[in-house]
Amino acid sequence: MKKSSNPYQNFPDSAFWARSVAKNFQPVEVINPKINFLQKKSRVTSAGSCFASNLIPYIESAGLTYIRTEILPSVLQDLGQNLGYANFSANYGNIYTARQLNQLYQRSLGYFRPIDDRFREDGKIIDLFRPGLKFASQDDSEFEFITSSHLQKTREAFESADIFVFTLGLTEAWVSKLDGAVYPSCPGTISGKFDPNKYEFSNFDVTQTIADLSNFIEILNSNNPKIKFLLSVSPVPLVATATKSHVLEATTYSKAVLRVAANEVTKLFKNVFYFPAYEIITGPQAPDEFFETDKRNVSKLGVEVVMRALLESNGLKSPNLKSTDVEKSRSESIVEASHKISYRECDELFLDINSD
Amino acid sequence: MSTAIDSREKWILFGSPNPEIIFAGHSHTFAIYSALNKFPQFQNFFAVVAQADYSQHQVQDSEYWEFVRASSKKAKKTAIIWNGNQHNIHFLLDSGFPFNFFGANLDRNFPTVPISQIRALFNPTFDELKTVILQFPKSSKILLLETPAPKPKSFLDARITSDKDFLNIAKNLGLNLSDLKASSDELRVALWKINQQITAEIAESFSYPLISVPESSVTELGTLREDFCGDDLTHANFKYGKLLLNKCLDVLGIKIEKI
Repeated sequence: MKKSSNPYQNFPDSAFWARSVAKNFQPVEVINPKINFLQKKSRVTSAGSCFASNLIPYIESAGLTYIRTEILPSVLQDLGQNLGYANFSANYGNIYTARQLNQLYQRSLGYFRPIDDRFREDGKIIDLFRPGLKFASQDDSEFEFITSSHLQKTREAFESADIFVFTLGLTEAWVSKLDGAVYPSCPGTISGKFDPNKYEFSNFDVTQTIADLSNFIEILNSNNPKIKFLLSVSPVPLVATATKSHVLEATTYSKAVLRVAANEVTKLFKNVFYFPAYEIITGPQAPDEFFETDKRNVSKLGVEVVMRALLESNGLKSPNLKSTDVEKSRSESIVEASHKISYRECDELFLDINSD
Repeated sequence: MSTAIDSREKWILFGSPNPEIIFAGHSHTFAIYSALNKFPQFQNFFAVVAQADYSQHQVQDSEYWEFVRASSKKAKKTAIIWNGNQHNIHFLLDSGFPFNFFGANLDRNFPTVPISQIRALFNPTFDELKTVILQFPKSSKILLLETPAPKPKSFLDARITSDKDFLNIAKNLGLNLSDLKASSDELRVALWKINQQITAEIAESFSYPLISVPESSVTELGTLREDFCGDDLTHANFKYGKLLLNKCLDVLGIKIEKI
């Protein structure tokens, strides 16, 4: 057969499955070469689901600055926190959908004030947008004080970043019938009480997800013109689906919607890029070891491979995870000095009964 | 007046053999001990559980409280001064990670925590107080006392950087002199108020009276007036003890010429 010229002849190996996936697969080659702006001085804010929080230690170990606006003294942090609220740049916890992210930012700007934002239980005020917080407010005034501060810190985290990493997790959500406020979990699962008159299920489609992401990006661009966005899709399947479908089918639908939406948004904005964590973890080339035995959570190995690819594509080393928080160590030493001084005074006081 | 009324291996009762009030508790009892020492007239009415030998520091352990309970039988009332340094132990020095909480009047740009989180930090020490109280006979007449207000930052900063021991502590922890700055008055006063609130709640739960700090010992900001500061970072002096004892006389309705 006579070979005629065609566009494929000049395509690189990465365009061919047989050459770059079936064999010779290199995760770093999947990364868009335009994602070359991560630097050691880059200030990074991130949001997303559990998978997104796994990426943070690698960002910090590589020498980038991971923004955290709600750091507390170690003695208060050591009391612990639930559900990873303290993991991200501000204590917003997991953000699963584009609409949830968009609404969070809108709330921080004062543009959106959800009508149904709290639940009273056992003398405590539960934040419906952070229902698993370990320590709750005692009354409405304290709740509003804390929420206002948290939203201010969220805004600070978003608007001071050079790079915003968002991992899209879900399309399914529970929303308020009053104003469409999206909750991170179905009310009644972690805290609160489910009331079918107040809450309804929503499964966001491609159009809605593109619109929510675009709205978020537009507003943040206007308040932080230097920012760049890295979007990824979480490879972690749904825990459960509220559709009538099998969870496998529902997961595939969700991830497809999120993948398409992410792609479309990168075409709309010059400063938005897609980072293929989803493909690296779930593609047929990926070993089973990239998932834990539950076939849901991504293994440490999987996270390492993803982050190594991202960092190396930016000329950054992917060192062993270690604590690089010099400031936290200094703070802990100061608290220890407070301890020693206080206890020493209790000891010494009685050595000199004539000190007065 | 004999100063060693009763003696056991570690503890003595210093003051009246049959006092209106016996004072017991942690290191803030020292201001009372000092006042009783300086103004022996108070020893007509009060006594404090003190160490038999001040060359060694003794801990207020179960043996101590056993002695207090035994001594309480000689008194009409027992006043407990509990801890009073929770805000200092963790927050005496500025850690570089400021925070705010509702009612603290701190910078609104600081990250905030619920008061319940701070109480969770302090509660274990107060759980011990409840245990101590429950070991007293039900017929006991107990008072709880607020502990002295925190000292002003200006007072603390001057002493922190001039004390060789503190400087050694800092050096051993890899800190610089510039790291040793007292935290703000507003923070320590707000934290101290939480401690006093917890004490008040315990007093109410047991239906015990609570004796608050003398108002004249406290500045407008809520710190301890320098006149009443002992020469260290955390304790009040004999003048404070005198104020407190005079307040106790008022509470008891004992009308005498103020000492």
